[in-house]
Amino acid sequence: MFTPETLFAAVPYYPINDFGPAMKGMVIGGLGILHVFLAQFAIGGGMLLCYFEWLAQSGRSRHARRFIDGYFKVLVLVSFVFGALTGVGMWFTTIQVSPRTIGLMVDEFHWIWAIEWTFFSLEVICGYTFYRCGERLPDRLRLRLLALYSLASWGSLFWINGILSWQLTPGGWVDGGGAWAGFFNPSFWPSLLYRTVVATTIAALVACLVINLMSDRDLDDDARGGLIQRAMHFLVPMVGIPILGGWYLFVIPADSRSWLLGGSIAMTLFLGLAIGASLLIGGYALLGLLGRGPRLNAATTSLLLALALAATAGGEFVREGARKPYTVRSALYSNAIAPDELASLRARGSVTHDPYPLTDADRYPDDELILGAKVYRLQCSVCHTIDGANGLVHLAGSWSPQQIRLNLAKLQHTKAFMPPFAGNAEELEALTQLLMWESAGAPAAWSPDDLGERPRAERLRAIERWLEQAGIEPGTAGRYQAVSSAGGEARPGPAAPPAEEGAR
Amino acid sequence: MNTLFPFGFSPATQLYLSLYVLTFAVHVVLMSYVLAGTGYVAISALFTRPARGDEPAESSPVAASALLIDWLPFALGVAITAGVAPLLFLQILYKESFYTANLLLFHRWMAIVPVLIVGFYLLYLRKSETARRWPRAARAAVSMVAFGCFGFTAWSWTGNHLLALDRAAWVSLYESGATPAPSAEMLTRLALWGAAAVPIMAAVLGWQLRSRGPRAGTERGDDAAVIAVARVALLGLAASVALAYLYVYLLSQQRASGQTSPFASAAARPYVWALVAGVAAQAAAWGRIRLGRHWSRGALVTIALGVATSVLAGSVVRESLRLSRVDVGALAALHQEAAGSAGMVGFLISAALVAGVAAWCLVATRRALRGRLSAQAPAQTAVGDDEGGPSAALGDRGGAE
Repeated sequence: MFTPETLFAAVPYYPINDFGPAMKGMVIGGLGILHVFLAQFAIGGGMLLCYFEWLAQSGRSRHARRFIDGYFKVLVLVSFVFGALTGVGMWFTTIQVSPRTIGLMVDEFHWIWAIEWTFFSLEVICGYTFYRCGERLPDRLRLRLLALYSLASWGSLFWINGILSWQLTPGGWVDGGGAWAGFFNPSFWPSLLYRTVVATTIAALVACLVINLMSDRDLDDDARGGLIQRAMHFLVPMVGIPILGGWYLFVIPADSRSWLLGGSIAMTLFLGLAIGASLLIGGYALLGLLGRGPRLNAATTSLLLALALAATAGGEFVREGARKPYTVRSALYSNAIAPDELASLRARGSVTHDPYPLTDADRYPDDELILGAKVYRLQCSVCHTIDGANGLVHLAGSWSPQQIRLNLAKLQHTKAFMPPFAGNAEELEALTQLLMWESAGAPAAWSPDDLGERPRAERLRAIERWLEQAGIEPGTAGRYQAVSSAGGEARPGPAAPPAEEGAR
Repeated sequence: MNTLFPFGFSPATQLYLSLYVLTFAVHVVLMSYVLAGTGYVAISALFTRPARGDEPAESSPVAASALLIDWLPFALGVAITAGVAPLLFLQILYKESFYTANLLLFHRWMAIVPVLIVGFYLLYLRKSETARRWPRAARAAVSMVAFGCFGFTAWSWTGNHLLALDRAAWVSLYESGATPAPSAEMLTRLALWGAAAVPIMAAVLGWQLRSRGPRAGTERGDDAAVIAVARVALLGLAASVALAYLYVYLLSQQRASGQTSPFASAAARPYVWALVAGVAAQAAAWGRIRLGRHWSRGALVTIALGVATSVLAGSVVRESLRLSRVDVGALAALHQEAAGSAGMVGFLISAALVAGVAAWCLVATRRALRGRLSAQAPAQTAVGDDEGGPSAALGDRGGAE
């Protein structure tokens, strides 16, 4: 029987799984990129089919009808199956990575999610109706079904886009404005329009591939060229990408923007990847549309599709990364600890009430390392591994013990995209010992006193002092509040870190 | 709980419980069609004789499996889509327990996504022209593997559901890193789901076959498809009743752990009787169809009502069993808070609008196809393909991919 005490605990504890050397973000990112790519293909595909059906019915292209049925088969087999199920997979993976995040999203937006579900249901019904019966339906009904399919799939994007963009720019929701204020948030429109353009781009490239793969019996060379030229019209909206991308950058928080524009080189590189890949596709499309480039053959189209996937990957990485140090800005940090829980966790410890023991407790020589491992599991493991991807040993293994303590205690100032440390001094010391022990190769015996360190009491006092100096505000808060109010260059504000001391 | 379900809870909890049960019941019908239908196709590929030369394809024993093969991919797509709605409300109702069970099952739980993808594509493969040319054993193997995929998904869901209720086991299970061993309760419950899926699938299939084949009282009375489906439905009902009895017996053995029999709960008792009535109505109507050897419209309507009643009532009974283990009243404040989030009116408008548009799509398509059929020469006859009959008779694409 559940008890209110456990249900309403300040921090709900969930069993946390170890993903091995793979960072959790890599798993959800990989699946997310695939899902987004396929979903956007479905959305753009619907629009493109409407266009081709209109071309066929208006007599502008007598070969368009042949293409439509082949393309729709690809749409159903790839998007309806793989796309729909990777969507479910995204939901399950998010639960694995951060149940608290998905819980908050469901609590706040379940009605809007339910609206999105009605649109997706309509998309499936219209899609399958066309798939099963389209060849035998009169022209007018075919076009209407395709238009409804297209509208429903774009509507599905409309609704889900509001929820996803809320995570980075919650807008008026933060001030108690409710779900609609969070839904129509500052990045809603640029994000929606950007994704729409990406959807038409992917659809056009898949169309070119399908046309190239149609047999010679169905299409002669001229007909193939004509259809490819028509499909490439769907690449024209790409001209809006720089404007929409700039608009998006303009409305996201200043600190997030700073990660993308050099503050975090990984994010900057991924942004560069997205821009570079989009430029290559756009450039090739421009040449094709001007009639100055070679016709898109199957190999080239495949390559451009791979570039589109790379651009999607870069874009999604940037979107996810820009949220740091939050998973829902101002509401939940990346490790699913809420900002208003920090004070109490600093006082009582972050894992004091965690009921789940370690699955590998035998591995650790003493209780302090076990405590450190539990702190790592709760606060760090969502973005880091010990010595795998984004491993702590690689990041901090070369630091001196005191340097580790100082940097962890002032974590949000060490790196502004990190959340504040959310535990007490004992936990921070335990985490420090864990990092040192892991960096030393996880020896069978471990004694901090043998390392010539200061007495434990002294170490804890120093940590407490640093924690107090760091405060519980995010590292960027004061700095960028000052920037946004001044509307000018970034300069240190009231929460800037005090002069560092004691690192040795 | 002494008040009839869903009363006796806070208004918000009532709302979410009702929405959950309603959407879950829809999902159950579709899920049952896929699970039992795939099993039916696999078995009939091995044991059912092909249509005889003089036998109309829609009356042959393979008519049922041909229809299933044609419709299963669509049904799975809709079943998955329909499953999203109860999944949403489930998270609002039982957040912590559902998430914890997900996390504890970890790899095995996550495996249902790729497994369902494989099952989905196997359904399309089974429908393809290529597979039709394969030997029986190969076709049966494809369906068997697909059935295994859906069976694995059902097993995972059953395990997830029971683990979510077993809070006492969470910590030790996590520490051990093991997956929970199948218990008698879990196996019985899974078998009950599997058996109950059969008459639900048969009910839908009955309507599909009726719309394609000879009408009641107007055609031959030895329709092999009618006999086969009626027999399967009656077997499924009998197995469901036996397994339900066994399940109730197992629950009565677990009273010490807080589990109660559905008959002991005032909240669920009327629904148990509704469930029994629904099953009885189905059995009587299937018996009538079996003896009459034709698709009687009246009997099929009775079956449809029986299925609707038993699925809805069964969903309530299932929920009552869960509620007897979870103190959902303690979650009332969270439900109230969730209910206050904006969008409910938008959802209701959207649902009504989408339902209307979807209905228009289906009606307009049906009219267009009928108009086309009536305009065509009536000389079109069914082809003697052992699996393409009913679809071909209506000019459907069948398995044209």
